[in-house]
Amino acid sequence: MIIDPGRCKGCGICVAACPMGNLRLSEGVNSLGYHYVEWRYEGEVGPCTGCAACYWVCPEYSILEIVRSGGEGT
Amino acid sequence: MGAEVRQAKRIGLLYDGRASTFCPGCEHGLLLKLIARALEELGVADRAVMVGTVGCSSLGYLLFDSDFVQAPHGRAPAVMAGIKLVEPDAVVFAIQGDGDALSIGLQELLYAADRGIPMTIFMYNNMTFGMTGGQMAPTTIPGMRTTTTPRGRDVKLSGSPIDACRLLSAIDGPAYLRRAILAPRPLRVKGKIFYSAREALEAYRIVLNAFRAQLKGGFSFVEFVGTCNVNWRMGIDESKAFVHEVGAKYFPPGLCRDIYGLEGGGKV
Amino acid sequence: MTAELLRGAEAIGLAALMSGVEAYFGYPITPSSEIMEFMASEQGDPRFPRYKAFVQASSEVEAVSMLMGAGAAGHLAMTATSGPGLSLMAEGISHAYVAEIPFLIVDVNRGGPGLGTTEPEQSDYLFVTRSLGHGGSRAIVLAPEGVGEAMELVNRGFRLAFEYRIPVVILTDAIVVHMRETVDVPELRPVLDGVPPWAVRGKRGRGTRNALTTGFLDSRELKEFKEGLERKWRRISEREAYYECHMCDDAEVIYVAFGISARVAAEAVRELRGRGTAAGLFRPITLAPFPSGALARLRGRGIRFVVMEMNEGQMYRDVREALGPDEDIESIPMMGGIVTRSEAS
Repeated sequence: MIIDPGRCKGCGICVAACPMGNLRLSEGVNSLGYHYVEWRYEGEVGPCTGCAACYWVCPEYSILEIVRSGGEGT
Repeated sequence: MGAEVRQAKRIGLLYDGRASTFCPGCEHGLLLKLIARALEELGVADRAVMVGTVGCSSLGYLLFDSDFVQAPHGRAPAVMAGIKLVEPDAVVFAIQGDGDALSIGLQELLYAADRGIPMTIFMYNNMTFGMTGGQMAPTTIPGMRTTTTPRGRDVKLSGSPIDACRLLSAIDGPAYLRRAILAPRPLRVKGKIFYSAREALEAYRIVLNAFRAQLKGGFSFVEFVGTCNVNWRMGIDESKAFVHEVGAKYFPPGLCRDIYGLEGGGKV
Repeated sequence: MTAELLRGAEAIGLAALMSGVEAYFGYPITPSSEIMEFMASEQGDPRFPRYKAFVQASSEVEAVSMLMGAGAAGHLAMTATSGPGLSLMAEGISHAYVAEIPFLIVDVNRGGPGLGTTEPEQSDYLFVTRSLGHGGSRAIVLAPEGVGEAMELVNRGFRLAFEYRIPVVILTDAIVVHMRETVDVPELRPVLDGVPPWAVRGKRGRGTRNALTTGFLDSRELKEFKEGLERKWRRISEREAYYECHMCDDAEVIYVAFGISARVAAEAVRELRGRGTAAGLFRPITLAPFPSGALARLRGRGIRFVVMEMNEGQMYRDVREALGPDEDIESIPMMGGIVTRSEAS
C-alpha cells in the first residue's frame, strides 16, 4: 500500500478499521504536527488481505493506493 | 450491501501532496474523496464543475482539480442552474453545509429542486455552523449547546431542526433524494474501538447514484450526516457515536425519492 | 435595417438578442417587467438560435446568482430590474466583480429609496456608479437617452462586459423603457465568437483547471489581486469614458444631464439659443467611468454649468469633482421624477 504521511491528521480511524491490525500511528510527527499512519511491520508486507477498508475510511486521502505485489490496485 | 469492493485506485482529481484544511476526524475530506473517485469512475471528470459554497464545505476547492466557480453563501444551486442551462454537458455539483443549504440558501435550494434542472447537491449535515465557530444551525438538535444556544437549543425560541429530505420530498422536481450517515459507526469490542468501511462504501454508492441521476437528466440531493468534533467539543470516537446514537434519530438514513430506480427500484 | 416604431422594453430585448444573448434570468418588478415578458415571448424565435434559456427566478437574489453561473461558463446572460431588485443583486455583483464574471443588468430606475414609486427617477446613480456592492465593487454604467441609443448601448455593454470581464449596468428609467420611438434599428452583431478560454465548464482536455474564486486565503493575495483590478479599472477609465458635447464650443451655459433628462435639457438648450443665449449640453454616456477628463477641459472659461437630474443631486458631486471648486455649478434636483421645461431654463 502507498501512504502519503504528509496529509495524515492522525485521526486513527484507519488504525481502528484494519481488521488485521496492520496500522499504527507513528512516534514522530509529520510537517502538520500530527502522528501519522504507518505500517506496523518494519519492511514486511504483513497479513494484509487487501480489503481496502483503510483506503475507504480515510477522510484525508492519505492512503493513496492498495497495490497487491505484482499488480495494480486490488 | 454487496460483496463488491471497488478498487483502491489512485484518485487523479485530488491534487497530489496537498493536505486538506479540515480538522482531524471530519468527514468532509471523505466526501470529497468519494466525489472525486465517483466522477472518475463515471468517466466525467473532465466535464465536472465544482461550485463553491461558504463554510467548511467550501474548503474542498483547494484540493479538487476540476473547473471551479465560487458562489455566494447559499446561492450554489442557482449558480449551478445558470451553468447547466448554458452548458448542459457540464456535470455540476456542490457541497453545501446545513447552514448554506437550509438557512441562507433555502429558497435557492427549493427552487432549484422545484425546477428539476439536473445538478447534484451534497449537504454535509453536522448540525452546526462549523467554519464560523459553532453557532446554531437549522439542523441543530433540541438541547444541543452551540455558541448561540449556550444553554441548549430551545425549540420555543429557535424552532426545531429542519428535515431536508422531508422538505424536498414535498416538491415534485427532484429525481434522487437520499440521506445517509457518513460517519463510521464505532464498534466496541472488548474495550477497543473498531471501525469498518461500511458507511464509506455505502456513501460511495450513493455518490455514484447521485451523479448518475444528473447524467440521466435529474436533480439529485444527498444529505450526509457527519461530525464536527471540534465544535461539538468531543473526541473523534465520541463524535462518531453521537451521530449514530443521537443524530440518526432526528436525521434517519433513508431513500426519499428515486425516480430512476438507481437503488434497485424501491424504498429502503 | 429599416426604421421601426419600437417600445423601449422591446428594443432593449431585441438588441440583446441581436447581440447573441443566450440566457435571461429575471424577476418581475415594475417598471422593468415588460423587458422580461418580451424575452419570455422570444423563446424559440428562429431568428435568434443562440437564445436558449429563460427563467423567471424566485427572487432577484436567485436571478443574479444564475447570471453568475452563466457568465462564469462564458455565455452572454442578462436581466432587467429596478432599484429594490438591484439592491438584492448587490451581493452577486460584488462577487462577480472580483471573480471577473461578465453579465448585463438593465436597471430601470423608479422612484426610490424603498418602494418609492413606479414613476421614473434617476436616483440609482450613486448606487450604480460609486459602489455597486460591498468591498469597492464596481460596474461599467451606460446611460441611454432614448430607445435607439438603448439598443446600441446594450450591444456595447455586452462587448465591454466580456472584453474587460466585469458586470455592466445599463441605467435607464421608466420613460425610456415604456415609450415608443421610431428608430433606425442598428446593425448589431453577436458579441461572442465561441467560448472564452477562461470559462468554467469542465476542463474538457484543457489540462489545467479554470477557477473563479471570490475569497482569498490571505491579505497579500487579496492585495495583489485588487491591484490588478484597479489597473483594469484605470484602463477602462482611459479608454471607455463616452460622452456627447452638444454646442459646447461657444457656450456660456452648459447643461450637464444624462439619460432622459438630457432630452429635456436639450429642449432647454434649444429654447435658450432661440432667445439668444449660448447654451450647450454635456451628456455623459458612461456614468462609470465618468467622463471627467472631457468635462474638465471646459474649465476656466467662465461657463455656468447646470446639472439637471431626476434625483436630489447625485451626479452633481461628480461634476463638481471634475470641474473643481471654483467653477459655477448649479444643481437642479428633480426628485419624484418631476421635470418641467420651465424649471429647466
